[in-house]
Amino acid sequence: MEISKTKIADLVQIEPKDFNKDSNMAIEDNINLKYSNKVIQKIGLCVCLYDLLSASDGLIGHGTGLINVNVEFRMIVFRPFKNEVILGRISSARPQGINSPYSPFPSCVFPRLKPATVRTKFFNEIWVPLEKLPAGTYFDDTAQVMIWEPDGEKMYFDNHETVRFRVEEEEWNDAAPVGPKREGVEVERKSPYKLVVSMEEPGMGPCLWWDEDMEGEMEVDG
Amino acid sequence: MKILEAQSATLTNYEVYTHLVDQGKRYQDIRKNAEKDKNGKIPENVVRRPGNLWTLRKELLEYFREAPSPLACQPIPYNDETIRTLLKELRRWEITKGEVIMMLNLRPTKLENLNTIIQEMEGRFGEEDQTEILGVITRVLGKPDGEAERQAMADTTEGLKKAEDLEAQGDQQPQDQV
Repeated sequence: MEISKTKIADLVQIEPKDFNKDSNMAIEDNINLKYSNKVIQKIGLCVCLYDLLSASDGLIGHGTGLINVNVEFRMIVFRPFKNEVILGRISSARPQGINSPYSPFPSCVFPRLKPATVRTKFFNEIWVPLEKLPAGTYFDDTAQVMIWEPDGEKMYFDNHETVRFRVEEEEWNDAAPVGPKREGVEVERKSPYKLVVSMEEPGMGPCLWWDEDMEGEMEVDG
Repeated sequence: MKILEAQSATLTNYEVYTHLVDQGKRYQDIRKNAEKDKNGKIPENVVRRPGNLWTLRKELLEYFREAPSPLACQPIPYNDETIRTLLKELRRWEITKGEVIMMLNLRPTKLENLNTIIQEMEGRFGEEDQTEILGVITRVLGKPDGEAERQAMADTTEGLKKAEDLEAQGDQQPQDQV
């Protein structure tokens, strides 16, 4: 998974109750509280502060007693690049594809019927559509899993299996509030950042399929 | 909030992992050295870090430490010199930055796996070069214990399945009573 550093400028406000903290720590906590585990549109999922580049003198605002500090810092951000190969686990499958494993958004509660989804431990919003699985893969209704049958032999995309996949597309949904609830109008909640990935090439999909030491002569001696 | 630069640098899993581990140590030291207030208690806000950070930290560390990630090996096969050495050894070939990052994160040990990482590998490199590149990876990044790794993967999968089954049973029970 690729992770990058993003440079951000922001205003940090330190509350009087935090005046007993070391100022660096107070700034770090403030930044992490605001960004960590959250998605910035077109930037990615923020992990945590990487380093603080600069901080202005603290100024106390009128009336509030908050200390205002202008800061510039670098943030560690999760945003895999297109074509990157990463690891994850299958979380579930529905007829249209696989949900991939592990992720950082509050895990979406999917109904029992799902296409194939994949997730990484901290990031759940990974989706493998059926057409991005090897040709000939079909959904098994009884077991609720995807099955690939290359030569009459059934290969299962089992839930929780560790898989390798390639990042194909990213999807951003601005999760800004949509106004008050009205009766009869269902507001669909979309995840702010989603990855569409593929597992169709050789070497992709469940790691156990490919990692077996079948032939000794393939081994490379260092 | 103002984004000054969307991507000022890229990091590999190993670098993020080290950052998180160092961060953990730093937070522990703060806890250890915290001064007590006049009531003889350590002020909570000094030693407590934001919960959202804590959640992500934990999940990310678990992700890094799960087979077949190279960081799941004990001791961790990488050190501060690893990335530099790898770049130096790979200088002979034209390999993109993204490809090097994937090599570090996935540590391919077979041609099939290398093939998924390097785009159009067959067109760009001859067979001999491919094997040599693989050799460099094995030499610099080390080689996983294949058997143990597969076992670890299978174990995690089993564990998760069991947990899910238990959960499903738990879900059903209240329904039966109704």
